[in-house]
Amino acid sequence: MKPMDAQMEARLREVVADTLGIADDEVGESLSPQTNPAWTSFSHLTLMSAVEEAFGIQFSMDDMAAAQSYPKLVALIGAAA
Amino acid sequence: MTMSSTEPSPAPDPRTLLRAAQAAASEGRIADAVDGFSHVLALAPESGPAAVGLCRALIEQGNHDAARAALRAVIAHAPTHANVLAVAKEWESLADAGSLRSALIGTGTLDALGDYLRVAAAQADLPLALHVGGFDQWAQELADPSSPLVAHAPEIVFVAVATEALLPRHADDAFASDADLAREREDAVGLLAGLLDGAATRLPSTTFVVHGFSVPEHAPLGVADPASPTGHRPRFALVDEALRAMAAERAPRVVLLDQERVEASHGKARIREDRMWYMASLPWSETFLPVLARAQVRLLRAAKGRSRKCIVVDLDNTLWGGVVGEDGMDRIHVGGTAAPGNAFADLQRVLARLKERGVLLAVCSKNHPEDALPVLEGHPGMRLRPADFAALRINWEDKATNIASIARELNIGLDSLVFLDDNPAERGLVRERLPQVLVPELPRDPAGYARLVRDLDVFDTLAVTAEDRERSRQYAEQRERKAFEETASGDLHGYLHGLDIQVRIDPPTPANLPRIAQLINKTNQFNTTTRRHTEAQVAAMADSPDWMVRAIDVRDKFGESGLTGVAIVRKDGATWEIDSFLLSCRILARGIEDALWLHLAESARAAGAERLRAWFLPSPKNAPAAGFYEKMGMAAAGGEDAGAVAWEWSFGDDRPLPTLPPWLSITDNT
Repeated sequence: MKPMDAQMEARLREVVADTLGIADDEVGESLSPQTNPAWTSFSHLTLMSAVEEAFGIQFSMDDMAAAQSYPKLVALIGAAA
Repeated sequence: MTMSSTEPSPAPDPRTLLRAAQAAASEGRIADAVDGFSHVLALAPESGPAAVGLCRALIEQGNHDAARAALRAVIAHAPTHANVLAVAKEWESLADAGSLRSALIGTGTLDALGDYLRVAAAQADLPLALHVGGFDQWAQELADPSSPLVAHAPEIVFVAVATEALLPRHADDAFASDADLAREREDAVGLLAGLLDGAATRLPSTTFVVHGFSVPEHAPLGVADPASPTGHRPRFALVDEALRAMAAERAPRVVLLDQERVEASHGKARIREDRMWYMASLPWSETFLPVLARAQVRLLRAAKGRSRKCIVVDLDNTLWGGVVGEDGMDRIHVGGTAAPGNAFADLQRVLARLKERGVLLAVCSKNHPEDALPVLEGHPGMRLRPADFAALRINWEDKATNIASIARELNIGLDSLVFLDDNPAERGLVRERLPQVLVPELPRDPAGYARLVRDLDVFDTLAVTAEDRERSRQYAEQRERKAFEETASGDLHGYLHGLDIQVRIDPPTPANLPRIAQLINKTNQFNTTTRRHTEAQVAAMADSPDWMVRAIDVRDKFGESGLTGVAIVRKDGATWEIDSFLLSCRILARGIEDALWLHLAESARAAGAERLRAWFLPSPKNAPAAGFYEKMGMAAAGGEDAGAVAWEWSFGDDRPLPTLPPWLSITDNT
């Protein structure tokens, strides 16, 4: 599993912040649907789509169902990239 | 120490500026936030977060117009999925009394389509107050008198029920019998009809736009389908026929959206994104959502009468290949089977079809008339002739001046015009000088011209009326009328008597209702209140004892002007109030408006009303109607802010009503 480089992670934080409509500093290890009301089941799908487009990857349904927190999302991208 | 030469400061990083603006906003420093977000957008006009931030900050400052402009700008620049969803939420919060109340119900998860619809409608200057129905709740929302749909009181409702939801056997069962299919078809159309009729009792003025059923992508029998007696497309053709009949019976309350055509045009394989469908019942892919929303907005615009009326075309290299002044008539390319002449002929065919629907054609060309007219009149490859054009400007003046002159001659607003010219400099000039004229960008290759004009959706109407089909011919008659007026020179009464004007006052009927609604929605100048009622709303008024709807039909010795005036009156016991009073400018200044007013006053008096009231609500275009009620002898009865004035005629004092102009002959057909 490839760890994400700093530039990629900065980009990911931007995509997450912009898609969920939250501030950059709200994006971190603790970000999840449980901790931020902006991350709903609906915005989750938009987020998956935006991440796919930003990094040129494709998630499976299982991937998308599993990516239910920021750290899990980072891990998922590392595996797919 | 010497000063080093000035280094250019590093370019500001939009992300940093965005964070600073967001911080300013959350700290309540609104002016700083506005500046900050504006700076970000100047560097990165695609930034959804900056546009949303700017919109919210401007709303805090009370500047709703600028807030709306910011939302439109970011979508015009970058209509990405994320931007559309973010901007849609802001439009929701900006909904106000001026927004068009509408709803979207159907099967599956509708929120994404709702967002695309909000944004597409806002871009088309038709901001919505949109209610999106609950998941698979469409039948309940139509059936329940106290449903959120009814409570929202929408003017227009989109009903998007998936084919598979109501016609599963049609879609999947290759061996279903004709009887089974007939039953499923009747049940599906019958269910829709019953629910729509029930909903209409609670929402009598609402227009229901039903998304038609579409043929699924895959035929169950594969390549054997064409040989099968229960082929896929034939069975769906029967469904389509039944649905059309159901809608026609209920017109104008029910209108169909051609889902099949929209899907086929986009590509059936690209309608659904499988993962999103399985995970969240999202019926439509990110690429199809904006296409479907655009189709919905076309119907919204048509229902609200927002269509352009005239297309002005250049000649050289637009209607034919080559420059006639240089190449001569024999060497230009138009008509025939070879390129590019066939491409130009195709464009002319498309324009001719538009003309048949009621769109006016006009020419604006920099040429000597003696070079260009012979081509128009006699070149065998031409499909359009001078008689097809309502106005011609063939001269060496600048095109903006000419186009403004065309608008004046045809008596239509600049915002009713479209201008086609192959020359980018001319396009740029007209866009700059006449920003209300729509000037589409033309491809360099004439191969793309016909398609471009076919794709223009600015001429959409819900129905094509007899007046539409006759419009081009009526402009020719108007030229004759003007010529006669010139010979009358000064003797106005002689002229008016000589016209032999016949006016017929008609009640509303299913046949004239589309034209009545069309006039209501497009008449701007002689329109006392500029209330834009949909056809369904007028139909409800026509059926109601509390309202009176009247239309006037005019002809004179030069020809039929047709249905050219409408009045709507609300009967409120002792007070009858004129809700709408409008006339096409083609028939003004002949006393016809007086005759219509007299009909209303006489009807009110005969019914025992004590007074006839009428408001004049000023608009940017209706100054011509401002003095009308006073001219008829009504007394000013108060006013409101922004120049609204109430007028009243009281029947109690037995004052004699004004007399009918003697040169009119009136038939009361009510």
